[in-house]
Amino acid sequence: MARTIPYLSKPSIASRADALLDAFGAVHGKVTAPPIPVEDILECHLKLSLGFDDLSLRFGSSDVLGAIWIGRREVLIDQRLDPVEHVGTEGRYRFTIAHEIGHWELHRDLLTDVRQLGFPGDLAASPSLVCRRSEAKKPIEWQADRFAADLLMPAGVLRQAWLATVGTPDPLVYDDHKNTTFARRPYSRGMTSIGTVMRRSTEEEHSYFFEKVAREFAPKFQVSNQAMRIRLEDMGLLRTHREASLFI
Amino acid sequence: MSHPKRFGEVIRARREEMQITLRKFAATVEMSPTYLSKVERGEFPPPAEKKILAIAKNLDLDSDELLGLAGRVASDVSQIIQKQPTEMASFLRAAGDLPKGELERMLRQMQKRSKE
Repeated sequence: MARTIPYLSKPSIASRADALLDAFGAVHGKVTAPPIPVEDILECHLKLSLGFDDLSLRFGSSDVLGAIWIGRREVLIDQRLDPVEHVGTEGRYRFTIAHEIGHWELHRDLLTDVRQLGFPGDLAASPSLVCRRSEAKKPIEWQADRFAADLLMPAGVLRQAWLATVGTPDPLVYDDHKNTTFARRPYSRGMTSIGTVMRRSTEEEHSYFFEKVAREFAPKFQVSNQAMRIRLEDMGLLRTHREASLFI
Repeated sequence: MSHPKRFGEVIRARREEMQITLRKFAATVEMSPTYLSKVERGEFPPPAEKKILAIAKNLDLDSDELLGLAGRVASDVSQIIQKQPTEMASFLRAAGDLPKGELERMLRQMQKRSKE
C-alpha cells in the first residue's frame, strides 16, 4: 500500500520526542538521568498493550522486529528480542520499543487498521504497520528510528552525561588522541583471524576510538554500542578532525 | 467456567489497570515476559497452580476465582475432598444447585460452628 509520509525534519522529530518525555515527566516524575523508561512510557503513559510473539512465524519472515495495531492500541515485539530470555538483546529490545512509540506519536493518524475483525485480542486482523529490518530506509521507518534515538538518548540528558564523564562539554576529536594508547587498538597476543585483519585494515582509523568512547555511555542509557556511537557522531560530540567538515 | 482465553484477558486487564509493565510483572511472578505475554493473549494455557496463586496475589484478585477461570481446583480443596470422598462428593452435589446467597449463608453458619 503506497503511503505518502509527510517530511519531518530532524529537529521537529527531536522536539516531538522531548514533548513526550516532558508529558511523561509531568505525570510520573521528570526524567533527569538515563536510562529512559521506555517501557513505562509505552505501557503506563501511552497505555498501549505490549506483548512478545513469534513474529517470524506470524508474518512468515525472520526480518520482523515489531508490529503495531493502532486501533487496538497494541504493540508486539519479536520474542527473539526478549531481554530476559535472550541475554544481550536489551539494547535492541529498547530501541524497538522506542521505535514503535515513534510510529504511535508520529504516524498514528496516517495509519489505520486494515481490518478490525474478531474479538479483542484477535490478531488475525492485519496490523497497522509491520516493522522489518530490511525496510529501515523507508521514510516512515527512518522517522521512527530517528524518534527512537531522540527518545532513548535525549540530547540534553546525553550532554549532561558527556560533561560528567568527559569533564568538558566539548567534542572529542580523534586527531587529538590518535597517538594515545587509549585510541590505539591494542596488539593482539593471540592469533587474529584473516577475516578480522582484513576487516580492520578497511575500517576507518577512528572506529576503534569512537567505539571505545561510546562504550562509556551505552550501558548507562541501555542502548547498543552502535546506537550510542551513531548518536554521539550525529550530535557532533565525536569528530575525526578539529575543523568542521562535511565528512565527520 | 474454565476459559483459558478469558483467564489471560482478566489478568492482562488487571495488570494494565494497576499500571504494572509486562516485564516487571513477569519478574514478580518469576515468568519470562514472552511466556507471560502468551498466557495473557491466550496463546498458551494458564500456568501451574503455584504461578496462578502468585499472579492472583500480586494482582489482588481472588485466587479461587482465578483458578476457576483456569479450569483448576485449588490443591487444598482437592485434598479435602479426597479425605472423605463419598461424603464430600454428596455434599458438593447437593450444594451445587444452591443459589449464591444460600451458599454464603450456609458458609457463615459453618464457619461459626467450627469456631465453637
